[in-house]
Amino acid sequence: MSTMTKPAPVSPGGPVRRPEPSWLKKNEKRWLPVVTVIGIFTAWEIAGNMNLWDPLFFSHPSVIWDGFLSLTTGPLLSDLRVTGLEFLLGMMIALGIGVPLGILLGTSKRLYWAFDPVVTALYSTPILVLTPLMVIWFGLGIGSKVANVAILAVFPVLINMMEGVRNTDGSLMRAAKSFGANGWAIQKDVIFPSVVPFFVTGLRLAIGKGMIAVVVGEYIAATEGIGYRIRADAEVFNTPRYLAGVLIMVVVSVIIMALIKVLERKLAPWRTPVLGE
Amino acid sequence: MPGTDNIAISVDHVTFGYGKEVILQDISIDVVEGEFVSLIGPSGCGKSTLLSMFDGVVRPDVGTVRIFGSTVQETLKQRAMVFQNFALMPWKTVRENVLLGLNYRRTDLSKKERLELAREYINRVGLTHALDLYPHQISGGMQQRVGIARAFAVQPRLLLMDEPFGALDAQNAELLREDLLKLVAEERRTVVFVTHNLDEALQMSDRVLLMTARPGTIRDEVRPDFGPKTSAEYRERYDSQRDLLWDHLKSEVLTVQAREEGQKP
Ligand SMILES: Nc1ncnc2c1ncn2[C@@H]1O[C@H](COP(=O)(O)OP(=O)(O)O)[C@@H](O)[C@H]1O
Ligand SMILES: [Mg+2]
Repeated sequence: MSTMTKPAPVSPGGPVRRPEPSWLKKNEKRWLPVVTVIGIFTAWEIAGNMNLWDPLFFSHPSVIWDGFLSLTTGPLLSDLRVTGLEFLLGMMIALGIGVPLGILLGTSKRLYWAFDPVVTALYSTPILVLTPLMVIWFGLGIGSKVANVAILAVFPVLINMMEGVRNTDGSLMRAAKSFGANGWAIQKDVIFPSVVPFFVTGLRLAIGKGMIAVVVGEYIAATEGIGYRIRADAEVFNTPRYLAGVLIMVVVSVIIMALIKVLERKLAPWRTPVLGE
Repeated sequence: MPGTDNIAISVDHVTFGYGKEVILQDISIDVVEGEFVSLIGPSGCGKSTLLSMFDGVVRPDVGTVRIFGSTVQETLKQRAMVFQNFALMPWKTVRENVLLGLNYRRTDLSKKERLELAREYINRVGLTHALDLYPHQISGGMQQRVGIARAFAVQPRLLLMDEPFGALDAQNAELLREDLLKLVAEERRTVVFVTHNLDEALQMSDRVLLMTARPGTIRDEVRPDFGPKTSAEYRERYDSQRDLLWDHLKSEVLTVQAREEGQKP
């Protein structure tokens, strides 16, 4: 019997069910980027093996992997620990200053008028040029990197908190008041929740800036840390290990950004529709 | 002279303006306890302003507003408001939104009792299945049901509603109208209801107040009375009262339009 013109199955009475799309079809958004990355690495590896470039100037995955192994058995862990510590301390300072100051500037119209132009101007300045100054002030050790992270990361936090408070929906405050909310209840039930999404955005931008700040700080003047390591390897033309360091930073930032997304969903479940869960 | 103890709202020669512009001019109204009063008028005539005056958001420049014989400030706990844009907290579930007013006002009740009240009113607007959903997960009609449950849950003597169905499609508005009337009938609350819909006003109210174009004053007062729906005269009476209101409303709307035309360069 031929199956070439098989008729669609008829379900007597009941509705005709469309066939479930396959796993591959449903998850295209997830696996397509994986294919892209694998493709790039494969092409890169093949090109490297064809000796298209001087290994001093560039490298390819299998050799970079060896560089990675030499890092892991060498200074990698202690470098990551130092960089991580500098980053965390700097972020804590940025949050400790940015959050309360942002709330203050967002709450008071006068303070907002007085400071907003200054804050915005500073935010759009490439503060990274102050890195040498931080080294002069705080030395070659972790102090200058912490300061670097703090001065770069504080502005996105500050600005987003400020705008978040200012953007609180007036009709919600009105409704809360109408139902008897006092000042503190309005803070707790209206202002804070509506600021959360802004806070997460500020945090995401601050993390991006903070990572640049810590690595550039180490790159310019340090004795340890992942940024220092990248520079040291580059200077002695250990290109594979240098590129391994760069790739490690790419991976770390991808992981951190993914964590931020999870945090956002946890903190503000009303924003991202999670239907069907 | 009739006693004043059953007067819910007494507005006495109230005038109000924003800056130099007079919004409400010399308004006097008495609303009797248990009455359902609709306010109708061209947009921008000050209906919302008048309602916010009853809710203590703005104060009259001249004249007085008294609610249940006391000041507006003293009677916060006796009234509740339903908003045109629903004004639900997006970060609160249906249950938490209905609990909002109870948590602020009914500190005399235990947490459990407040929750029970909230559940009861959520049930009465038919949303028990949506208790744990966020506003963005339910339709506009359902959101306004939450708004109505939130207001009824605090068991106010006075309900203020500012175009509560204005943001809904015709069918959802009709459904909610029925449910609201049922709730009001069951609980005998005083209601002041702002609308731009003549039929809504005529079908729901004991009394319809028609306001003029800005500066708003009360132009007409109609007590809808058409007899039972089954009677032969129902349609005729309904139409004649509607026509009267519409004639007057139309002239006010045209006044607003002419004014806006005049402002064009
Ligand atoms: N906060 C405000 N400041 C200045 N003018 C306002 C304010 N709120 C409302 N108005 C003006 O008052 C008038 C009446 O507004 P409103 O009471 O909202 O009208 P309605 O509800 O009848 O459409 C409108 O012209 C509006 O522009
Ligand atoms: Mg209005």
